[in-house]
Amino acid sequence: MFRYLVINLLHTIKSNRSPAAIYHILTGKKSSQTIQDLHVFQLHSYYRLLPHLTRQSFDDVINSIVDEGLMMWVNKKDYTLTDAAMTYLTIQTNTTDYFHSLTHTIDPSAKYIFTERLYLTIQTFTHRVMNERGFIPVTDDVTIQAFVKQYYHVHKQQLSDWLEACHTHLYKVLITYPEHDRHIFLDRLSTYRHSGQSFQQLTDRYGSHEADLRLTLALIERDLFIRSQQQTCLSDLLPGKQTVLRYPSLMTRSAQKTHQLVMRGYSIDELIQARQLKRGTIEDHLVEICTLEDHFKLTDYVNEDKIAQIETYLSTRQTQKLGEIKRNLPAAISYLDLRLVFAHYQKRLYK
Amino acid sequence: MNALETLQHYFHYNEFQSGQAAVIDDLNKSQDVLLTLPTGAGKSICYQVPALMNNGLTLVVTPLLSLMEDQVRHLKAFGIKQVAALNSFNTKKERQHVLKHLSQLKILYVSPELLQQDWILKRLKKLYIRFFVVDEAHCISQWGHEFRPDYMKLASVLHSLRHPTLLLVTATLTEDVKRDIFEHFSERNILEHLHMIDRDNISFIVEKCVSNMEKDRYIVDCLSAYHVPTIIYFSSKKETERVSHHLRTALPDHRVAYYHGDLENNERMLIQQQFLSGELDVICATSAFGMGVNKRDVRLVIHYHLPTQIESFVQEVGRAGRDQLHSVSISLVTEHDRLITERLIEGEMIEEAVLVQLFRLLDQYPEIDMDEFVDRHQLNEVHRRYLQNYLENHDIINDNKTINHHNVTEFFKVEWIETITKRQQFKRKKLLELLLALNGDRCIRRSIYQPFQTKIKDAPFGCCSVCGFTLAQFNPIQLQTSTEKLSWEEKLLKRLRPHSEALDWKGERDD
Repeated sequence: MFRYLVINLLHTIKSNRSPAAIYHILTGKKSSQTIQDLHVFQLHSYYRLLPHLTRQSFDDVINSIVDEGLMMWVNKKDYTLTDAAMTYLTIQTNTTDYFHSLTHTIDPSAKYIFTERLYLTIQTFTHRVMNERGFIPVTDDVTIQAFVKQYYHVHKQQLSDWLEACHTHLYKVLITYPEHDRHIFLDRLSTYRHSGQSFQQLTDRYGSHEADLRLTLALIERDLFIRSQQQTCLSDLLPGKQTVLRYPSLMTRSAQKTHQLVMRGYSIDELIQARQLKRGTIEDHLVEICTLEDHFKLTDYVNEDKIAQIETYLSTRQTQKLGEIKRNLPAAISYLDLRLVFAHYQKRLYK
Repeated sequence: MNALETLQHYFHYNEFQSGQAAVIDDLNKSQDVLLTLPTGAGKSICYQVPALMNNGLTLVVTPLLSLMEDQVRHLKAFGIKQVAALNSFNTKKERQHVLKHLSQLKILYVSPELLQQDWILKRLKKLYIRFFVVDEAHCISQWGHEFRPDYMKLASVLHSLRHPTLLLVTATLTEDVKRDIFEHFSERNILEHLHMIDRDNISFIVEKCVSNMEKDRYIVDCLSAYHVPTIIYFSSKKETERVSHHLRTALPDHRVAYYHGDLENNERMLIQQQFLSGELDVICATSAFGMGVNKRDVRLVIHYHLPTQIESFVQEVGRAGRDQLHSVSISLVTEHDRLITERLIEGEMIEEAVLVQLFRLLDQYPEIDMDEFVDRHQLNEVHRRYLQNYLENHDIINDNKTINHHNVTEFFKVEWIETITKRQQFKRKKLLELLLALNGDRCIRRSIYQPFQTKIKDAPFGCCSVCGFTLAQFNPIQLQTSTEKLSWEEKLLKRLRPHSEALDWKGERDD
């Protein structure tokens, strides 16, 4: 399944970016480039889908895709998908159902909180209902632990009711998944007299790749999270102030500081001076702000002639490779000019 | 509550193990103590009980992050919640949480490098610190097997905390180390509680192998005869994975997993927890595994690779047989092991060439960027601290990185290079000592415990392979495992509603 996901994403970004861009989206890298990619290719719902995916697992899958003739390297970074890959994507259409939870864009940090609370609550309640006090919590996050502790005190008289409701709910959700996935989810749970299985153990038991296991779990967790936003027995575990994903929250903290100054009309040199950062960093911030902020005034940083020149060129060309565009424009136009106009252009294009 | 009542109330043990009560008495009388106890003999009880009995905070300095986390989890599992850990791996959120509740804590574990930081010292100075515990106290000594540069400043930290009662704890104390410890805390009057650390319920076997293949074969044979809780130690992460896969195929009834420092935190915790609760039988691990893992019925500790000195060997072997039942240590040695271990030692040390580069920078520039230097020479965190502390202690640099050229003398350089050369030689000597202990024709037990004590207890279950012990004499209770074959519905019910299962099947247990 992970293979399908990757090929599908490779297809979406249409060779404009290297496969590593997909890795960064899936793991939720907080860089300007990754955040720009989310917007350009409309991949918000994939952001931080698999935060702990290792680069090794990802590269393994890419290599196997190449070995099977679905993808070819043009050079070190650029690739193309072969016809076989297109056929593969059309044959696998029944998977759209499998990935249904990906049609919603969610806030990854709210999902994290919900999921950790769920796992720790199940662990705590199953132990306590058997009068067992001692166990090692599945999460070290003290804020999650504090929440579950409170939650336990509210429910300690009705532990078996809660577990019964949770059982019924999980049954309803799990039955919509292939049997193999249900087992993976249940084996990963830490409960009374059953410690969750590690990925190495699940890999051995089910012969699945680690990336597939992570994806299976992530999709089920995501499903549970989304359903909880309607009223279910798990809705109490949602973080209180349900923060709807807003673009500024994606902005790196450092860029947010720069943003404050940008709003006050600082020039690039003034920004460098005020933030004590390198020019390159400030330029990255500007591109990030331009991508994410509607009120960014492009003309404060690029003069109007240049904007016109670049936009004219962009409207006639298909490519999204900056290097190629740069070569075809007058030398007076800097990379920064190009990146800013490009980001601005993309933003309007998708509106 | 008196000490015994405290033990019974919080830890549910009926009585103290030997040595514990006397130490606790002395600590309660504000007497500083140096304590050695064998691994697994309940060293931590010696400060946890006084900490819970007395007013004020007990500060525990320990260099091992995993140990720290384990201790905190362990205490919380006993229902003792006023404990926390502060180390460089805390998230900002966690750290704030701990600092906010600092005044309510009874026991705070803290890493030595954090104790160097002003912001934390300032907070601690405001509190009443009753006990100051230095765990793994051998780290203070240059001659200790795990020398920690940050430990060299503990005496001054102690001083600034208005002299709480001091407890120094270690499982491996040689004469050299003891001298260094007393010198470091020379203004204190420290009472010794030194206990024999040899373990008479463990028999030692050394098996000479010619290749890894032979080692693999030996382990498969051994484990098919003995299905018991087992730890196999490696010096290579890759090998833990390879052998673990091999064993899983060769021994389908054994539940095997690997463990090393590159695994995600969460994964490590799951494996550790499974081993503790008996859901795993065999663990292939690097030395990262075992600190603070208090599993009482480990029957076999196998060394696929040897550590770099007797002290580590004694600690790793000491994870076997904490329930006092007969247990066995098997060391598989080949000729080229020595090379592997020598390479390990080289990796631990700063090379002379690196120092020469550092001297060049010190001579030529007005200031030095340590981070950049460390990056360029690919040094690890311990190296960085060592360099930084050494330079600071000799007044070469201060916080703003400015170099005090006046102190960068030829004498300083020669002396430093001599120090590291000596340490290299010392490490080699330690390795040789271990290899000789295991490869000689003298009693193995005597050879490995001799650096720590003069007398050795008799071994009631059999001594070692030199003294005639063979594996055939090992007759432990064997594990019976059955793999559960459940449908997903059964699994869901069993996991989520263990209580209904107990009702339905009248408390029948399945293990």
